[in-house]
Amino acid sequence: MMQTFVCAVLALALPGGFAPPAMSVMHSSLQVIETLDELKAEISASYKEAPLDEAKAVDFSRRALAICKAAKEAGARADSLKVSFTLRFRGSSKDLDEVRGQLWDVVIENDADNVDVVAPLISTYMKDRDRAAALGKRSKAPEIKAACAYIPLTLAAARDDRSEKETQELVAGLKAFQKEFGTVVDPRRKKTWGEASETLLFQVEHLSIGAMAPEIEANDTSGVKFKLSDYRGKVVLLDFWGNW
Amino acid sequence: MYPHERSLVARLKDDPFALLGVNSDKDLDALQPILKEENITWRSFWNGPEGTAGPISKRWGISGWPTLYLIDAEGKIRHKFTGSPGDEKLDAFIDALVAEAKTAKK
Repeated sequence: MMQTFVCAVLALALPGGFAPPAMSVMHSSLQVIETLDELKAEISASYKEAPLDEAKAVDFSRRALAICKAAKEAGARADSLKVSFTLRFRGSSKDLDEVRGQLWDVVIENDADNVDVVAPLISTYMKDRDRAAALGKRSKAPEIKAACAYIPLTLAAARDDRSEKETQELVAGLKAFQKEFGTVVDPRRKKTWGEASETLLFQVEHLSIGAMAPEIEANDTSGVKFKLSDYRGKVVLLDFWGNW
Repeated sequence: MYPHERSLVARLKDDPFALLGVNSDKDLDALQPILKEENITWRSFWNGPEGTAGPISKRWGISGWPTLYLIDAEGKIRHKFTGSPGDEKLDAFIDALVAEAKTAKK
């Protein structure tokens, strides 16, 4: 790896050698890897040169993974994971997903019960059903179990093309989730999961394909009140738009 | 989107069809000249001064703009598109539902 600090390695080899610079994380006995701050600085600099392509996103993530594996503290592992998940790469990439999954694996193995560090990460960065299930199973903390149990429900809810049967299953799943975790507090939203899941349940029950459209009663752009149901009997294309 | 919306409204003016908007511009006064310029004749609910964070889009769980809901004559949601699915595809879905509504009336 380009970022190996040869000088630090040499320093270790000197007779009566002195301590390696504190800024670098010791990876194995003689290999010193970069720090997260150094990686972050390189990522910021790369944005100024060119948009991030897949190869670079994967490389940066692999380096974040190496730092994550070597890190001694939960906070440092979480920060490495965040560096990969916040990369400005919009496309889809199997290789990138793979490395991001491995970052989660390190966090799952080491920090499954760390509510303060891990619970807030889950809703934002967990995109993988299997790993969500693995973390939920391994963790003893209800806050983490709840956040993990919510992941497959939000993933299913995000699909526009659910069948009516899948929608019914999702409604049942959300209600079961509320029963089990309704009183647990989501540290990220600072509400209970019962409250936090209410909006999603409404949307799945009333805004899925096959549901009766909820009433809208509001002013039009000229200030005249009207209702969506005024148009019953007609096919309605309801267009959420803005001129911005 | 406007040209295709204008042509939809014109093409289906004698059919059981309505294009309705939920407009999420924050400034209603600034919108007025645009409605005229773009010949936006169809009616829109106004999402309020919070713009895209307004109450209608919040309740409807809108995560991208535009989002289109296609609702049949009985008020049932039949299709949902985050982003336009393309003019031809959209027309085909609308035409099928309009045909269904006409058959039901007979």
